Amino acid sequence: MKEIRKHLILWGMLIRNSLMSQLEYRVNFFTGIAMELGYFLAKIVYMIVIYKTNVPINGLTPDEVLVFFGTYMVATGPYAGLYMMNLFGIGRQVQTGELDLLLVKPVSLQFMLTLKRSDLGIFTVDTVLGIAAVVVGLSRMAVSVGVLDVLGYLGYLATGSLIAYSMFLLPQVLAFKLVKTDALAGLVDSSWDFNNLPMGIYNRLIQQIGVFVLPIFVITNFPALFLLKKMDLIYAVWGIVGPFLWFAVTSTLFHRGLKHYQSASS
Amino acid sequence: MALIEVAGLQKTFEYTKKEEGMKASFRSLFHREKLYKEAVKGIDFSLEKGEMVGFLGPNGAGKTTTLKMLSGILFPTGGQATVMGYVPWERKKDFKMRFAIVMGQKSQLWWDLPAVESFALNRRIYEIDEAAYRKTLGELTELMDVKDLMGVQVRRLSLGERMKMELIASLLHKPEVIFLDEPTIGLDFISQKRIREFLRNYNREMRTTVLLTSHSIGDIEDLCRRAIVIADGTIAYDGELKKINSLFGERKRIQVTLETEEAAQGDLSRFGAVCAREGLQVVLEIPRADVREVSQRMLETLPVTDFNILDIPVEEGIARLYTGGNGQ
Amino acid sequence: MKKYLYALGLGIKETMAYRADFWLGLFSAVFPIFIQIFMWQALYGGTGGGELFGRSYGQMLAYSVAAAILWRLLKTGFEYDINEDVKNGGLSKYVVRPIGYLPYRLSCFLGQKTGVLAGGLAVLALALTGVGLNFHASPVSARGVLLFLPALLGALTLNFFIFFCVGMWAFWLSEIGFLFEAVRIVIVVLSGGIFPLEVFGDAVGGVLKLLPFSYAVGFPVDVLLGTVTGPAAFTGLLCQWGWIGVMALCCRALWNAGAHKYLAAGG
Repeated sequence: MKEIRKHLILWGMLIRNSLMSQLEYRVNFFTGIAMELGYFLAKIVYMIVIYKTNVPINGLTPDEVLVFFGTYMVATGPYAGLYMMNLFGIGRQVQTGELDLLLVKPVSLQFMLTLKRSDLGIFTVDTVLGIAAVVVGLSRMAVSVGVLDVLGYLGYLATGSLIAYSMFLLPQVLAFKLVKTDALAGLVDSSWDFNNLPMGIYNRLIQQIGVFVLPIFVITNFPALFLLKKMDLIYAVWGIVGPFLWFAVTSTLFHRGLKHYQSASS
Repeated sequence: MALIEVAGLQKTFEYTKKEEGMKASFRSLFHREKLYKEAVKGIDFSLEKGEMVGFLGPNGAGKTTTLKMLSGILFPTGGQATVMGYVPWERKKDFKMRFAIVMGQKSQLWWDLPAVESFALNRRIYEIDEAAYRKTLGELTELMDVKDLMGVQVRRLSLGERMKMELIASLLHKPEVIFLDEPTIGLDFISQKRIREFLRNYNREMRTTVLLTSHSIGDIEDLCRRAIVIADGTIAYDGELKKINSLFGERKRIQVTLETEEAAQGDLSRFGAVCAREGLQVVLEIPRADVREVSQRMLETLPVTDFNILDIPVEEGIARLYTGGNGQ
Repeated sequence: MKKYLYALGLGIKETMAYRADFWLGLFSAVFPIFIQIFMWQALYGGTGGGELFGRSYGQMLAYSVAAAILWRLLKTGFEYDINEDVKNGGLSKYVVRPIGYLPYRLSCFLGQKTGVLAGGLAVLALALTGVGLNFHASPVSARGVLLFLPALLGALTLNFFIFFCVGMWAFWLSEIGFLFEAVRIVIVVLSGGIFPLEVFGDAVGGVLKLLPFSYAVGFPVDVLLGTVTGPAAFTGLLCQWGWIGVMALCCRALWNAGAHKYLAAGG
């Protein structure tokens, strides 16, 4: 539809603007990448342990675990690079009145509020490292991968990002009730690292909760399971249905929260 | 139907009382006393197409709240309003495409980029076609005289230049209605004059309806024939600016300089109400009708060295409205 | 001496804000610990109750928990304050007055830590008790605790000097951006803050153990848990204090060079 096209073009412009703004501050840009690399080191140590012990986890070989890990890195790209900072900044945008200026414009408020800023540096570092890890893992297993596999993988990555966006949007709805969400933000962000390893390390109960109740595992496990052809049918379906369901619910709550802001503030 | 119509518009919101001290902070964790503030207490007014009206009032009077309701940012607690036939808080896309709001303290421009990048973004947002955009941009930058600042990052512009860019960004889509909230606040005198000049010409040429709030009487005097004075959530006055003083029973002031301190300090109540005394100068306030008679008497009986008949400054008239006075 | 006590007092005053940060950071440790518990369970399950990286399952969990708490206890932040002082000229008053900048910073640092040390150690004790109860074996011995105390003091001092040196880079970098954070996270990994350094293998792990960083987290934790005992523990303590000496000298050298540059630039 025309509106979707308009918003996609706008998103491109917003990403471009963010990048240009970032490049004004070169030191921040490069040290930001260094920091992301530092965090990568802290995450890949887990893989070092897995490889050194060479013990299969829940039937997954270290190489397969590497594919999960790589998928986790790839998913972190859009999370940290495209939407996470906007979500955590909703509270600030409400307090400073930036929200008001966006409310009056003929664009989707949710779109502008949650996708305005991006960090292409972090996005690139994470996705490139992630793809490299997946490729290394697959080649070590001498597994060949067809176009359909890749498409399905990308599809589940996209729906994974959608459900992640929705999940992380949820606590920010409180910002409309003029609640300070920054302390919460740090904690919520830490939960992202649950996906550092495949959900197979957890017991059945935790896996089910993390897939169907608070679907954090859907984000990175599903694309990897699909690619490794270890995906159950119920997961395959939930991986498509769940994200759209979550998006619909949290978006509705978002707009409810906005209405509260419009009624309650001055 | 008038372009902007407001009837019985009300806005009440609840807040919690903040008390001092550690004990009170702890208590507030468990129990918060809810208080209600009536920011806007049922106001009525209307604007015709092409009018430029000033919205005056002290801090907290409800000006910005009213503007936010008219632009759809806030829901009113009661009453109605329509702008160009739309109900603002329904936030219909068509409505948003046809109006603009500029808030003096807040910026919609990207800080680290040249203004032109923010303009390009607005072009997309307001779905302006390329040719129309170029033409409008050219005209506006010409009028504002900022053509050579287009490539400069917003953060490096002066406050006055930034305000010009804000205005351009808001006018690219040729809105029919503009709400301006403190547009010249913090600007130097020259910038203020330039912006006022621009707004005056723009309003005249484009017949855009403008509702502007300001603390600066200069803004309002320069730009608006009509002023709406809002104080404590209600409208204290709505009419021609220069007629505000007529509310106060048509009074005038006489400023005399006398020869001796003694004379200046003496009792002059037989002439009128003394409102100011400084050194050899005294200012008296008298009913307009008595000007001739009192002047004659003063000139005959007092050792006058200088004599002026003055109007009551508009600020004072307005200030009296703020405090709810309606005359003496 | 009085001026340092004053600085200590200042440090204690700022602890309110610092405390909130500390406890939040400590709480966020729950997530990675959670993952590690399950990871080790899966890995040790596969080995049938043997040893991995020289430790049993119980010992590994004890290490994970203790290391996570310890590095959060040691965490610095004053390197950013040093950067501020250099950039805003706040350093001027220290360069000319007899208050040594380093002792001032050390006093502030220790002041901050006194506010959270008791609480942090209590959490450590609780966590290790939890591990012990789960495995029906105490992860710590009395001797371990006794040796841990000087090792902890050494770790605090060592960490201070390491990050003071990092802060000194502010003299040469016009902007630091996120560099300090990048360096910090790498140091945490190299200190054994996430996993014991044995996971890097004999070669790499061996080299890492020689570096000063391991004496901030890995060594004190190993002493506490009894993985390093007796003569090895004492040699370790000596090395720790040896590294403290080396880092102190680095600090002094960097400070002298930096202050010189700072003054030459007009302060």
